[in-house]
Amino acid sequence: MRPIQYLLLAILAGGVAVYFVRLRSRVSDRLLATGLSLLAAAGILAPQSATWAAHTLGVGRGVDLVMYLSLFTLSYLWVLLYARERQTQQKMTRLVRALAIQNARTMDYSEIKRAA
Amino acid sequence: MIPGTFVIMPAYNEGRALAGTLESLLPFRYAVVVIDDGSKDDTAAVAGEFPVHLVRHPINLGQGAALQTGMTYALSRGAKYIVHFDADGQHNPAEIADLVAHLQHDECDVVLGSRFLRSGDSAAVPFGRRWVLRTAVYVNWLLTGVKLSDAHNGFRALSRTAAERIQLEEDGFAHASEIVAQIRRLKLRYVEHPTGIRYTEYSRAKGQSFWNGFNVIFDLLAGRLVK
Repeated sequence: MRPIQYLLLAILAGGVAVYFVRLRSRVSDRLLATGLSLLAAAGILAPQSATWAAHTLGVGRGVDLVMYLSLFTLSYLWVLLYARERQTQQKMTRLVRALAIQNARTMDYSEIKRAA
Repeated sequence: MIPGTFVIMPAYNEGRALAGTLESLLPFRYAVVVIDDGSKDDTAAVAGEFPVHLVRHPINLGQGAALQTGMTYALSRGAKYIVHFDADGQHNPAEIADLVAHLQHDECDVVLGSRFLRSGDSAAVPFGRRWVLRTAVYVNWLLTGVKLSDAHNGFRALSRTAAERIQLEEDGFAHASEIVAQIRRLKLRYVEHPTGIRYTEYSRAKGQSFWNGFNVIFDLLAGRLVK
């Protein structure tokens, strides 16, 4: 094994550990994460497997295939995060609105300092 | 005064203009709801000195969110007609009655103010802004499927039914197009009504820039893709 392979495996193991310890998620997500991690580990331990997959799909180099897939995955994650962020924003808006209406100063003429 | 008419006025850092706007509006004796959208200046203090309903967002959410808050509040107070009115003093309060008249006669559910129905009004719009707004009309048409003469006029009147059904989810400036899209989706009846506009140095500086138009388009498209 080359040094870079140890390094990549260590990073992968760290990421997987954080995912399983810190993030509670559904079984389907966990299965997907396990599958992807195994795939990544295989790619690190046997780099020629990426080249083989690339050639099978008609891509020149294994690195290119990995890059295309990463770009695709990142874009997908970006959309996912954007949707999540919008949902959070909408929840916050509803919360702020409820609070604001609850604490509203309704028109009360005894409080008027300046006549209209 | 038209009983049951609530004038909704979102205000974000409008402390300088708000007093003048309220002074010209209050003699018409409508119920006025000022929504202080998390202003950093004395907007709430200024509004507090007038006989108005004051709803305060603890944090800044955006004009669309403020309008929705105002509508929800006004509906809870039994509003029959709801008028959207800008805090910077660019709209003429004497025209509120004309807009609401369409609703009283049950001609429509929503009345949209337009700066481009009378030649005198459009001439008052600064040249650069006029072209931005003309372009916006076509962008809006593409996005909402409704062609209006004025794309982003903040002066509107809604019947209670319309206000109950329209739910603004775009917190920012994209709400103007969102309202039009919802009018179409909910099959609400609408008319455009000519309104004048006063452009002051102040309102011009506060107004939306050309580049902000791109933000609006992005928000709308993104909002449509990911619900």
